[in-house]
Amino acid sequence: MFSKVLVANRGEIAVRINQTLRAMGLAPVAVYSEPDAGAPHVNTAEQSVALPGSTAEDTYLNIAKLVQAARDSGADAIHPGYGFLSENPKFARACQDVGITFIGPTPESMALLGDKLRSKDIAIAAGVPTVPSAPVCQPGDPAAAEFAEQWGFPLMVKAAAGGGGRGMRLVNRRQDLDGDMEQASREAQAAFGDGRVFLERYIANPRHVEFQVLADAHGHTIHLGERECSVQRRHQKIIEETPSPALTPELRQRMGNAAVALARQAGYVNAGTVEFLLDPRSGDFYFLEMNARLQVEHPVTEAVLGLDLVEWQLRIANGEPLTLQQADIAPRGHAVECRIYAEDPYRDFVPSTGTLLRWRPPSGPGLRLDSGVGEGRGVSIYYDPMLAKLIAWAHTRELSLRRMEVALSQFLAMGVITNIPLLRAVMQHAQFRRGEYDTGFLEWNPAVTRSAASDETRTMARALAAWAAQQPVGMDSRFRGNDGVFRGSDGQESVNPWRSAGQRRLP
Amino acid sequence: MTANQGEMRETYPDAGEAYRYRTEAAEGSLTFQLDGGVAEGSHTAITLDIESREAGEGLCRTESGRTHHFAWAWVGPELHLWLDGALHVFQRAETRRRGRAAGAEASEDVLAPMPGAVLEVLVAEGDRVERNQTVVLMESMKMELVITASRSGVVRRVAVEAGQQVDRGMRLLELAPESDAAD
Repeated sequence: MFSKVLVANRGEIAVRINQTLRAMGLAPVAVYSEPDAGAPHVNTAEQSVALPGSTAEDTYLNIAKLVQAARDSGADAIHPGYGFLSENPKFARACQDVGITFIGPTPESMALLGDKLRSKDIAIAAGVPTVPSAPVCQPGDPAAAEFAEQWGFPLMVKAAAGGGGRGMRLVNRRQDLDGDMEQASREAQAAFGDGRVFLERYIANPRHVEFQVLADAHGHTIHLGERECSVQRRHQKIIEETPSPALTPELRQRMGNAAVALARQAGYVNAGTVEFLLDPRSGDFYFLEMNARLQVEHPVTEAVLGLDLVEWQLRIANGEPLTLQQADIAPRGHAVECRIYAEDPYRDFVPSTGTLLRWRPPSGPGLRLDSGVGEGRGVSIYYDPMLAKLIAWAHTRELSLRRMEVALSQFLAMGVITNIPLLRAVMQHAQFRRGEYDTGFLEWNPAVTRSAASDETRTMARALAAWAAQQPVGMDSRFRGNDGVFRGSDGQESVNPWRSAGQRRLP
Repeated sequence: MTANQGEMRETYPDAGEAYRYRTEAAEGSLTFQLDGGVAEGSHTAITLDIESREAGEGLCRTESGRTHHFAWAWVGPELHLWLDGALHVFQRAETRRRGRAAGAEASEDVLAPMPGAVLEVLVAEGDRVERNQTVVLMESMKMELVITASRSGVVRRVAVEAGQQVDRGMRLLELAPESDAAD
């Protein structure tokens, strides 16, 4: 086994990986940008290396700096987490070149699966259903017009190198096709350095159901069941659960087998996730993409199976055989995860920056919190606004949703706006409770994205505000400088996004 | 018994009109009453037992005996109140008025509508732009964002460059009215 592992990431996932490394007796090495000095992911590591700079490009996306940090600290392996460089074949290769183990699949399978069109070919070869699509085309190509003719509108424009909702556009009208293709291409060029786009048939109101896969380097591949990730905003998941309320045992088996067949066809090694679109009416499912990394929502799988996916990633990367058999995989109970974001659920999910003046997460039976922040820390404009993930487990779905709802109502977070009230409203929503929802859930239920305080609650809030305004300024003065400007513990001035709002509204 | 009165305004989750109120406080009990001008039948008064042992947070009980958990903090001029998991933000009515007056003078800047990164600045200082012309491309929340000019004019200053991270409300460009072009 390795002795020292550099975690090339930040926030909650770096903290979570540090935990497993320490439990396995391995030394975690953190890297950190300037705004992240003193962050939880640094403090939970055994040693740390500063990366000069603030932006992601200068720090967590900088291959040369990360490889150098690994060499300087004497790490023999690198865990990339998710996001940043986790699916970048160049990074995996750069690690290999200097004799450092990259904890994840080979650069070759990463490159293969990172390309939506090539991964589609793999799915077809493995006998896995895919969404009909047109090959890579330019705006104005006859092939694009032909495809639009065949399938009609709406249809999807996707980036070949895409992921995470980037470079993706829903085209509603013929006259928008060229413009949307150009914009998606520009977005993809900026995000991935690859502006190729293609067209795909639009599956209306699908559910997003994905399967966790584990594969060792000795040809043994299994799946760990599904995760339902249909509650999304802007094509990004905010709530995930397992098991999915939409799957019958028969469908689960077919989709699980398809996921394993695809991973085998791709020669995949380590932990990965095969994403499907599921038409809940017909029960038809289509391969969407395979993510060659650990997923944000992996804790719900861990909760129902009682295993540690990061531990398995490390053991597989170390060449150990996967000792679990498919027949051993018997989920117990139900788990749900909510992503806590610093964003305004009532204003188009605009990110909120500032200082976390109060941060006291709930605790209780069946609860797990993966957090990368702490009280007094700044939430900056530089990185993803996800603060933490709250996971609730119980024997039944009904009970785990209720545990989650209670926990959300007790989650004390102040200083930035969070999406906690929205998450709570979803937990209370009758349709969600019944398990009848798809990726359009938030669109169909706009009431969830509006505040819903009762008259009595509003009056109570006003009364408490009047009372609080009379109190001497209390503990928040810790974070106030002599000049009255609020700063995080890192000394950064905190900017309140909606204080500066309301000057000139841009179209 | 301590009587008090004030004027506040809610700014979050919904921005509301200023309201006047009176309170009476005695031995951990608070009676709150909204002053007139409130629609008939809506909830205008409440009596709460308030207990606050730790700075910045407390419990309150309504007359029906239900217990609620709350916390508060000042963020600049804003009073953030957390109540049972939801955030409510208030401002003293007079501070809001000052803020508004300053905002009105804040010229014809093109501002970043949300935090993100500048992808490309499509105009240069001295360029004449038309209303609704695309002037800056930003990336925010993993999406491309097209920033257009709010009116026609001349670019007096470009305040950002490609690759720069900007926060919401930060100035991207300064637009001079066309009549100023000769300046």
